[in-house]
Amino acid sequence: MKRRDFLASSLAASASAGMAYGEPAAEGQGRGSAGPGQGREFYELRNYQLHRGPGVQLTNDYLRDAAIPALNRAGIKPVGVFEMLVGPQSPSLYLLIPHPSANSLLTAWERVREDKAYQERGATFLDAPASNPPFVRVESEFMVAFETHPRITPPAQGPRVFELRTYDNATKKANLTKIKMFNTGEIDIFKKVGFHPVFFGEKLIGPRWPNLTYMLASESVEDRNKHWAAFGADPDWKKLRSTPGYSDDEIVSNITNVLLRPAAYSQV
Amino acid sequence: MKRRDFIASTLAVSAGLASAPAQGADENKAARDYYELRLYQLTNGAKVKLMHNYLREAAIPALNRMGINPVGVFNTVVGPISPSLHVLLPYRSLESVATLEERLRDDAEYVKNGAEFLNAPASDPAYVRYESSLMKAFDCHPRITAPPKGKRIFELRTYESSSKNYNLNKVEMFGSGEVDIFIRSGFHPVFFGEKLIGERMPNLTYMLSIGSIEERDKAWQAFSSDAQWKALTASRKFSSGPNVVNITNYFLAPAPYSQV
Repeated sequence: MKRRDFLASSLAASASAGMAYGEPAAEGQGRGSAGPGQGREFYELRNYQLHRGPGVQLTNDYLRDAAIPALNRAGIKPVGVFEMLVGPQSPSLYLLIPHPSANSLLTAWERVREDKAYQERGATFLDAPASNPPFVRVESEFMVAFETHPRITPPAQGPRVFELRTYDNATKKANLTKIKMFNTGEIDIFKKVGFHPVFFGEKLIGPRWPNLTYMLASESVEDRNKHWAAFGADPDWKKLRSTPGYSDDEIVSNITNVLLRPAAYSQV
Repeated sequence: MKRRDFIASTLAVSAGLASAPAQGADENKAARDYYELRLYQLTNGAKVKLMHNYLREAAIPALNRMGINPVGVFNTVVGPISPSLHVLLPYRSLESVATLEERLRDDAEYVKNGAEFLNAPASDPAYVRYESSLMKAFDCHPRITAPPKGKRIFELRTYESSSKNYNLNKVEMFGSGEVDIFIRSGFHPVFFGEKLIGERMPNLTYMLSIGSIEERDKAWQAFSSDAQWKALTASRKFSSGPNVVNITNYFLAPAPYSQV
């Protein structure tokens, strides 16, 4: 029931956003078209590649005690932190940051760096010597939320696992067709079979473009497996995937998925 | 002389920025470029020509109509996965980055001129993938500066740092003389970007232009023996690192229709 209310309100939000949206004209670049803007979040997804050792604890301390509180003070929440459960290169941490606007990618981090408590509590991490860095590298990407799921929806706290899925598409046209398919039924089927959808993002900047990335939560890996079995057998799904133009061969060229568990302090 | 005037004016601009209140996002918008740098992975064959036709006939004119100008298109001369194309887009705001695809799709001329590329079947796409990164122009070089047309090569350099603080220290070092020394050594600096989104962060990427690879080698020699450069690297502020732990560089050649 709650999810239905959410969906209804988010549809209303995206409908009005299309009308309200207008980019300020910056030297001819803005022309106020309907598009990504108010109502649709932007996602910064960072992957901190770590090596075993004290850096893992140091990076977690930094995120929990310095970065997330400062991001929250800058108005950014909920911030998700996830550990790799099944996927390449453990240990690593995913940091999921929902931004209210594209420009927030810049201004939120500016505010964080100007935050005294952030600098104090994050000092060990921020001032780490080059000879002993807490993390190896950070890979990041930037997305805009789908129209039908314009805001992140964290699942209830408690036992939960997350699946992060990236669908590569052969062309941008195929990418948009796949997004339309999510928007016209696929997300509803996820909910029906028991998944908790967390976010859906059309990639703006990142590797392997064009693609899209989304996240589903389940209570456990066992539940996740059951949900996918129910999804595969769902009559609505069978109907949707047999719609002309919607076959995987036509619109999805490659899938990457990883299973994640939330850090104890994750807000998602 | 022209370059010196340019540097003087950019320094004035960045000084003005520094004193602006933190909420000066609108001013930043007008005063600073944001760069999207794409690396298109291509495969040998007819599709290379389709890619170039698309960029020349559909994408660049449409981007220019939106005020995204100049657009750089470069072939890889020395670097991985040739054939590949580097495409550099200078934006005036991050909103412009976010709305690009939508605005392109609304541009009837773009859709018409790019039809063959845009409607390529999934079984026979025009390119394999592209990877992209997003940057914010340095205060000391807030706008892209295209070199004069004619014979020219480009060097694209990415400097990785072990932490954001070292990354910002290196950005400050560029603004404290390093860019001036490039110019004095014979390079034409094109753009300097602090990475906001991308691979192997924290890092920064910049681009230098010069007439030929031979001139490039000479200019680097002049750079490394420059007295100010030696003083800069020895200064306490910039020698506590290393503030750079890893460098990636490529040689690029402009496509005939590149605006950079």
